[in-house]
Amino acid sequence: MRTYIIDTDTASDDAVALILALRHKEITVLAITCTAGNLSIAKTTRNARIATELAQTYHPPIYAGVDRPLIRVLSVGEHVHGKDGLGDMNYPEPSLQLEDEHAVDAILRFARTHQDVGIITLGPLTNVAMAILEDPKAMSNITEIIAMGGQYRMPNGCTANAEFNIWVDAEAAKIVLESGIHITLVPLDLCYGETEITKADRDHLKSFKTVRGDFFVDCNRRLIEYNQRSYDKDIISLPDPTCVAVVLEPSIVLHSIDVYTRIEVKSPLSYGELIYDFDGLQGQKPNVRLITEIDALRFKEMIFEAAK
Amino acid sequence: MPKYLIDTDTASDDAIALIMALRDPSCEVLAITTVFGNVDIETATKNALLSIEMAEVLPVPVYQGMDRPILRPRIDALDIHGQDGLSQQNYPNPSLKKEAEHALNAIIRILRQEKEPIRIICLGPLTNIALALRKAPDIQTKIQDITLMGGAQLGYAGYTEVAEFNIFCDPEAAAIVFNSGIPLTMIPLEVCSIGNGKVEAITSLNAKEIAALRALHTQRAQFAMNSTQTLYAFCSKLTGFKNLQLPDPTAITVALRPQGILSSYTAYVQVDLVGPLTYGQTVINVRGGTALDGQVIRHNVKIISAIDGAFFKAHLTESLS
Amino acid sequence: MSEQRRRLIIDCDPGHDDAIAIMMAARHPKLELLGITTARGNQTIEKITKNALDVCQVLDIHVPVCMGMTRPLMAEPRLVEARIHGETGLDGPKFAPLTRKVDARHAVDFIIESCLTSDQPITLCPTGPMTNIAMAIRKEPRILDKIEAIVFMGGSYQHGNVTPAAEFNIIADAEAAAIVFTCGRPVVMMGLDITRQVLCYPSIIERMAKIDNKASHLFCDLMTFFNKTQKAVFGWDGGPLHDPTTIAYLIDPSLITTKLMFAEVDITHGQSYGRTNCDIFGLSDAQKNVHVAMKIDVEGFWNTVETCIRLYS
Repeated sequence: MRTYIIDTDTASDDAVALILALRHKEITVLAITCTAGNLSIAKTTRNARIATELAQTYHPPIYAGVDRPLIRVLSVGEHVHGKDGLGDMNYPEPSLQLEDEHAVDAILRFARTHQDVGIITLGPLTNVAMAILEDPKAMSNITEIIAMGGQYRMPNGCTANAEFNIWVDAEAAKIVLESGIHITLVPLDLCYGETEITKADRDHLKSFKTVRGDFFVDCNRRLIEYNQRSYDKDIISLPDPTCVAVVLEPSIVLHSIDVYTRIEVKSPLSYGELIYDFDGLQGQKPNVRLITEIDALRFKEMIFEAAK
Repeated sequence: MPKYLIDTDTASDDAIALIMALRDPSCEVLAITTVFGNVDIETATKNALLSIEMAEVLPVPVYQGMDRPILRPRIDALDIHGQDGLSQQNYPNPSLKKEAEHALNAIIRILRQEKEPIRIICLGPLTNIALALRKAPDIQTKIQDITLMGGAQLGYAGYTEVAEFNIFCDPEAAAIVFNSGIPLTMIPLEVCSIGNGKVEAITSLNAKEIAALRALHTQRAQFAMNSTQTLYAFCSKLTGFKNLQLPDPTAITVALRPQGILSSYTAYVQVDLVGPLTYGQTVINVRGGTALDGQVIRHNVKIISAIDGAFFKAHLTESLS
Repeated sequence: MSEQRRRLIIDCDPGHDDAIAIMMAARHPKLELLGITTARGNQTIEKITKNALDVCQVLDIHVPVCMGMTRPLMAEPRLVEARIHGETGLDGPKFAPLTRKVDARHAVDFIIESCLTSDQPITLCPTGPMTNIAMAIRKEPRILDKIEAIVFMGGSYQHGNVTPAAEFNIIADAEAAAIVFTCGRPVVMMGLDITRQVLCYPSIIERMAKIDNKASHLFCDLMTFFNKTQKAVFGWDGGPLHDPTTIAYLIDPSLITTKLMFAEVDITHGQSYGRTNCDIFGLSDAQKNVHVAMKIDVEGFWNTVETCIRLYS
């Protein structure tokens, strides 16, 4: 059984991703570690607990991690997901509690004690970077990191050239990229195009009349407004679920590129931009498997299955 | 009839572009200014003079310009176009001669003299234009627009992982031009190779199309295809299939025959001067409003995203006939 | 030992201390002032150019005055700072109506032309932002063979006066300064480190007033105003006479101790943008390219200023 820690800055699409992961038979979620990003740590930890309860299956321990990026000031995305990160739906306080242990300590403990554990990251990479900085040897036991983040060819994810998760803490992303751990990158591009959750898809989800079906639509209502404003599209984009989908069913990947990848951290214009050496200019071995295409139909099926 | 200044770092595809512009009946070329870039400045000037001779038109004055970038060290593209920029065909020296006046002064003088604003087409690094603007800021109002071949959209590039050659040659000059407020039309490099991924937007030539141009049996057509042999080999090796990409000639079609444009969009384009990994990148922001860092986003460039391949090739064929 | 006078062009943004540098260079028997080129610095290029013409008119100096670049290469022009130099950029003296005209040639072309046609090397003396010099070097690299040295006022191997890192002339156009620092010709830097030592106390003004000629009148009118603003803004009792250190050096190099070292201008767009990083201890093994002024003979300097003023009697 494949085992993963999921590191998340739980807002609306993270919540959907968590539920997808928890309900799927293919993997075991060892722990959920929370970081700041979409929202403050107080809100992301709350939302992680809400999502875990809504999954209506097992409850992995939930840990609070670093509350701000390594170096830069935290920028949150309340304008994307809503003030509460879940579409301003004011969901009731969850009864699940947070663990006392710091998320970074928990990650290191699992890395030391477990044979085959990977990390799925759905937010900024601050927790993972801190763990690598503190004990790179322990972290070298991590089998893989599958990160939702970065841009491929889609501009204006967050700034012109950078996607939000990476942009919030590019220094952390740099540490992860240079760590030697195998990285699969699921860029923002994958949640637009055929994988967009359209009005018809949303009506279909609502037709289930299930708690999760309603939740998937409602918690994303601010995200719908954001996509309307930014891209003039009436859709829910689900980047974090595309990342989890890639882990749950690797056959969903239609195309990927192994590429040596670096990140810009100095330029104000391009901070957080992932630099892909497709032409091998640097003469380095690839350090990233970049996912460039997934089976949109199967992806949507997985969402619907998790909602039922 | 609109009047043009063409600024070029004359290598093989620039030469074809010059012939297209010079032979186009709708276009009056007031002057050609040369800049370092693909080749060194002397070679750029020599190749420009040769191109005018090959065009078989009334001579147009050629003014030699900047031999190096404002700040960074000079690079070149000799491995792409050949040591002489023209696939080393051993052409005889041109009998036409360049003017004595420096290109910077000529650009300033010509723009000041003309009553109506002039259009400028840039096929190489933007050093001449940038320094002319700095030296004589008043000429700005005499520039109707600038069409430039250069830059790249996100995820594409060429010279570095993220920067295209013409811009990377002199990012500071490019920044000056992009921040100037002059109406700009930019043709990114990838548009001249894969277009928008659709068949009708492919402007590169395959072997059959190259043979068809040779079959025109004019001196111009031979010159064009012979001079681009090194470029042809380079493009074919890069992509894994036989193709000849002609970026600079597409700039001529875009400027002179805009009906050949399939799609375009406006954006706020800035040139990254900091890097270090992204130095020389054209950072393209299509949104409006205010950016996350508080900057007000004002679209300053029209970016061509696809060009009609058949239309372009017809224009090219016409020029070489 | 050649008796030939040293040919120079002063590139400046007058400016009180620029004006005194012009005064000193124009009449000294060791120097041949070929022309004055203006750069946008403390004030707009129009005001600065007028100031240069005013100085030439009142002192009866007959050299071309050529207007130069209206803005720096890359940076935005600094906001006009009237606190030190006043509204005109040369507040203090009352100048007669201007009859002199600016030369038709652009400063950059004048520098290029002068260098290419001179049968003798030329020293360039920038006392403001180095935009004109950089443009000339880039536009016509052949002038480098004809440049004897570039002796400039600017920079600091210690702290700056605009930001903690940077001095005004350099930060006004750091990219231009970088081009000068890397041009390969001898570069001599009169930085704040020594100019802050030559403070024009009221006693100096009294001393020069006794000479009682048009140059001393100009000197006193300029420095009286300059001292007032320097006192108000920085608290100095005497304003530092920055720019004339370049001319004093050319007249008598023994007045200033310089050390050849590797120096570069920070153009990396960070907090230290515009800093002249001077490798005094030779920590890097990069090519030594700048003679950085370390010490000045203060008394000798004022004697030289006095000598120059006396030449106008």
